[in-house]
Amino acid sequence: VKVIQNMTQQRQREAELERLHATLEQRVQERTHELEQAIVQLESFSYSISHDLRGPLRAMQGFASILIEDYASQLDDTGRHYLERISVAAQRMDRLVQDVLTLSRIQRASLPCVTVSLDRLVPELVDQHRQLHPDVARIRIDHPLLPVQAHEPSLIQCLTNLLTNAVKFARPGVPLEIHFSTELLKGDDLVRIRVRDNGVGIRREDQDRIFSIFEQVRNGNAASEGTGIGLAIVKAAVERMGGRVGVVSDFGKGSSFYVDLPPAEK
Amino acid sequence: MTEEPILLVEDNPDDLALMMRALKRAQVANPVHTVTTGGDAIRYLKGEGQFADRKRFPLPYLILLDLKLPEVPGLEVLQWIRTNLDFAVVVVVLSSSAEAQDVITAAKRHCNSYLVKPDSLQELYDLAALIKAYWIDRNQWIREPQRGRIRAVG
Repeated sequence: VKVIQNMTQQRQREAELERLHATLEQRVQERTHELEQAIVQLESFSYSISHDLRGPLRAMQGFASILIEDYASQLDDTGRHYLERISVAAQRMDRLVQDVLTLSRIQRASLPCVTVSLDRLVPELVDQHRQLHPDVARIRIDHPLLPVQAHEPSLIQCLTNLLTNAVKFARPGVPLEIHFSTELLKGDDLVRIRVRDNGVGIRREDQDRIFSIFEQVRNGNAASEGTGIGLAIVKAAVERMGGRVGVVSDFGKGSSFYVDLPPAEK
Repeated sequence: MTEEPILLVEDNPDDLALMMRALKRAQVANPVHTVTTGGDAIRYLKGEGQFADRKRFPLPYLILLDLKLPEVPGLEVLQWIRTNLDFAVVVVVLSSSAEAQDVITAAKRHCNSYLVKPDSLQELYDLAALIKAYWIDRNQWIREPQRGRIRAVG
């Protein structure tokens, strides 16, 4: 009789345990769902805020330009200088807002990945860049570059950001060299895309945080023009494409940024 | 061709002023009528209420349509236009966003073109000059009598 009683008790305990387990699972699911909702709301909030900010900015820039066009002759040098500063500040804020928009878009949108030929894409990017900024850098590409699985528009955004970053952080007086290469990381089954430059480099203690939003490290001729969001965009996009980013840098000598992405399917 | 009217639908007074300046600078000689809500856009096109006088408020050949509008959103105005007006009416969306969803919806509702409001005044001048060169100078107009008026008021 004792044995049977024990067995009944044990069965009851097991049932109780199972019930608790199920409740816990349900609560975890509920919380996860709530969190996901909150993130979606936050992202769409940041999208609409950035979007609404651009309207007044267009007006500030537009009317400052009109003042310059129509009334410049009635202002002295100081007055014109102030107007220029309004214009430049508005442009800068506009770039900031656009970058926040891009970041929030990349965080929200689905990024379907297909095979992308870097052998085609990288020379195209470099050509575009040269048209905008001839003579700014010597760019070398190690063909053949390995193809990757990626969302092409996002990858273009990433590589463009890395390229313009290299230009922004060139060492004063040193002709800038940028070098694109790829390599298969066998252990991880990822393709590493390297963008190496001979610019100002990044101190070891700064290397982790440069991928966070607004963490532009100020050094050398450091970019008053940058918004500090470019690398955060790169990181978000690459991670959403199933990859990772990083940097290896020798302060004062240059940086080598890498983007690891899944290789193209054979 | 210059007498063919343009309807500019824009609720933001700053954007409205900047666009009017850009059109003037691009030497657009057509009369430009403006309304500031989606509801007014539809009432104008219907010739309803304060817009009843067709002489003063003629049917436009070209509509420049903002999307974020009070009362009736731009995409709904577009749908109304395509349901009720002759297809010869050219609708150029002029939006502050290139959100994929908006671009897709506007295309499905048959806008003729989707343009994003540029950031700088110079770019806006360039855009207005492009609109004039393409839609006003080069595109073949169907004049109002042949264009027909409202197909069916819905």
